[in-house]
Amino acid sequence: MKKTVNIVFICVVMAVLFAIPCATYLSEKETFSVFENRNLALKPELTRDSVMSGDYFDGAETYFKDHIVLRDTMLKNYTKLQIDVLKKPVVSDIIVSDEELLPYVALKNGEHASNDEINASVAQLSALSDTVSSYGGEFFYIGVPGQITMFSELYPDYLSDIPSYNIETEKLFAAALEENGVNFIAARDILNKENYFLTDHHYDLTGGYKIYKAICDAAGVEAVPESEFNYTTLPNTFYGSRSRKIYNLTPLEDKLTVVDPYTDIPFTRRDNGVDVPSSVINMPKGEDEIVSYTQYMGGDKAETVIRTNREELPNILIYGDSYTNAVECFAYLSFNEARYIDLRHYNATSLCEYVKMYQPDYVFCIRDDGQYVNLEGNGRVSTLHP
Amino acid sequence: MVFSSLSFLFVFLPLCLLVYFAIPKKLRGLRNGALLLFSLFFYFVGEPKYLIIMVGSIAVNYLLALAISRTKKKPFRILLLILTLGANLGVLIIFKYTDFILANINNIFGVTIPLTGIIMPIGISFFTFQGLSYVLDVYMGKVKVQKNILYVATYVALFPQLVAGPIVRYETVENELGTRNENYEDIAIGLRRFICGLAKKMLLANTLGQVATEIFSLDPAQRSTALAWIGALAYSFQIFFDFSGYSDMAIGLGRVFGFRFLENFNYPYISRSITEFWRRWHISLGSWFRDYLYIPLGGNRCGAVRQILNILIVWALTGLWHGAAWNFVLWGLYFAALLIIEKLFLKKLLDKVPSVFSHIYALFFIIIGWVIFNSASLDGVAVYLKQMFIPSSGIGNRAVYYLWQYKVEFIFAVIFSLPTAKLISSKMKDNALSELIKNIGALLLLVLSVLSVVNTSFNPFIYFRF
Repeated sequence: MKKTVNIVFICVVMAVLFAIPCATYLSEKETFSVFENRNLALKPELTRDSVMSGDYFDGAETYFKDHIVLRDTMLKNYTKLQIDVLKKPVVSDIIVSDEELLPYVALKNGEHASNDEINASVAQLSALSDTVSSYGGEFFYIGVPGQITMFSELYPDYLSDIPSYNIETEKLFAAALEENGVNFIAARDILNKENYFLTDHHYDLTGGYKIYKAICDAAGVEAVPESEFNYTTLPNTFYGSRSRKIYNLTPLEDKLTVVDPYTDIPFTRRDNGVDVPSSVINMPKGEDEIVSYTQYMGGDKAETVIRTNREELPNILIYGDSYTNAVECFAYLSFNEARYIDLRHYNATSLCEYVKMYQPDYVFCIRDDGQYVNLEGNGRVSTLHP
Repeated sequence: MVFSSLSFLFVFLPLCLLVYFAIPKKLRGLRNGALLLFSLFFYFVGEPKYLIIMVGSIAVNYLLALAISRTKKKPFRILLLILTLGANLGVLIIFKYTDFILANINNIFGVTIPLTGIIMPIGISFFTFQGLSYVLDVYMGKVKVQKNILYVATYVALFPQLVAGPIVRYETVENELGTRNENYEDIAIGLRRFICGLAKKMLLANTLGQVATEIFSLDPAQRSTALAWIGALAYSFQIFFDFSGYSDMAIGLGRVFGFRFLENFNYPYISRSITEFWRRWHISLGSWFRDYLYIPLGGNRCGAVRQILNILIVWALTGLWHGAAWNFVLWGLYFAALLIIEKLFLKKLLDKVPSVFSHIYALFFIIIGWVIFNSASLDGVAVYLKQMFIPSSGIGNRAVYYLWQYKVEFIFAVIFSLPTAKLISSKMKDNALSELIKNIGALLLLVLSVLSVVNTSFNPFIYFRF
């Protein structure tokens, strides 16, 4: 009997060891992971060099990990185990709560960004501001409170250093900008919690509108009143950037709202030099389609140019991370030409050169307070992005 | 290739088992040949360029052992012995210590000899020591020379223990290379052991390793005293479950293929003294240094001063074996000092005091030892130890986070550092029901471990760098 039990055990283990690779080999391969919001690994190229350098075997392991059969089921169950059984307060770098899904950030060195970090960032922005001023334009930096600081009181005491780091950094950053004569708009004074998604790190269109309004006020142009928009909430399932990291294993739920001005303002749109349909919301094809924040402006684009051909109005350039997308849905309404740049993707020229080339009347940077001293991506304004 | 990878678990291992067990038992040479080929491929995957070094090491040791066995004249035998030591230690010095030596020459003499940037082949310390022990055993007449190079190669390159031990002596597997008997019971026991090792690695070592890595890499100003202690504890658990987990996997896989490797760990954290700790921790390395260095130096059979000197030499080299850096030498000498003190008087005292005190004593010094071991530099050791003992504020709240976030792992780490599993196993009757319970437990651990392998990108093996 004991022998039989052991034989059955060996057979089960062998079945698992053989079935998984066979099923993986035969299964259809996805190219994109919706939950992780990233492309899955491609099959590594088998060459003499790749084998001898070890890259082939590393690539094969990554490919296997990305395409193993039942991958999403496995990852979802692993996440569920951590939330429901192990009761971990932080799962996949998300602080699991029933109020808001907040990010966990590993301990940073210092209670705030260092003076060197702040000075390096401010020096770049100051140079950009001078460039814009040199032809008569005006530069503004809009500091957006990230989810971390907007919901700071929801952090448990033992993680209170996470929001405190960003809050302290913003104080120093804003002071340094002021010292260098760079206009700073603290969106903290404009936005409130209701403007943010529960399961995504961005603000929604209500937040986007408020930033748009602040931009218009700064530029001295008239904003389209909020009452002039038709807001529609889509019934589609919404995947937030935070909730998908935990495989939507949360009772929290968001819906995506889209907007349409009652008064039509005709415009043309070019993305990365190519004409695209004149819309700012990428509408889902049906109610079954999963939607996300990327419906706004169709997600992050290297360069978008919207022309309304109203030459009496000034031109604007907005650059920054994805927080700009919800703002961009409105911004073109009050300007002749609106240029939107995301330096994480745009690398045809440096931002300073770009600004000199098009000389927009107003240049706005929109970044969240977790990115103030990040000199990569949209923090790299005077040199070309690699 | 590491055991805790999908490529190993779901490609290499099933293929190896399929080919190996498809060959009839009576064709032992063929089975060994298959095992050798898979072992060479296993190494090739991890270190394609350095496979030649390992194959060369096997060939040289095979030839030297053969030559020693055929030479009767003592001067020639001594010459061959010197050649053996030179060849093995030479390879080790070139690949592991060249830049360390050059950096120290530069520091001491103020010169700027450029460093070579040589990358150390994985597992070189293990397969070199294994090859060396084989030739030394032949020289000392402990084992008969193996005339079949495939058997020597299989012994050295055997993939379960190739890159991170345990350091298997030739005498342990001498007979099994030719006449082992694979059977269902051994395969089941071996698989269970392998799965337990995998679970130790994936579920405990890697998770607590994240805690240790985060805390040890913090700016010292951020590290409160509480955090420093949690980091030290987490690392102590990480290194134990990482290395003993690897040894379990190696021993388990060996058992599947019919080999009985000796145990490498015996619940070291229950030790009541440092002397006892080193009898329970990395047993194969400790016994290697004892048999091939400490005893030939004179061991305990000489005067007190010479004994102390022998201990210092052995432990400085044990430290250096772990890595080409001064903190490893310090780590070795730290344990040498403790062992000497225990030898002189403390051990007698520890035997008399209530065991709770001796356990606390041993654990305290073991944890401090791991701090020395895991620090990047001597300065790092000093700063970290200072933070452990001189109260510093830093971000104390995070200590609560680490304890709360990893509470289950810490609890299980404590439970499985004690001989709990052994105790439960001993209470179980030797019958089918007990086997069934063990098998179901192993399958559950396998599922959890695979989930963890798929999910994690943090998967270091500490002992791979040695």
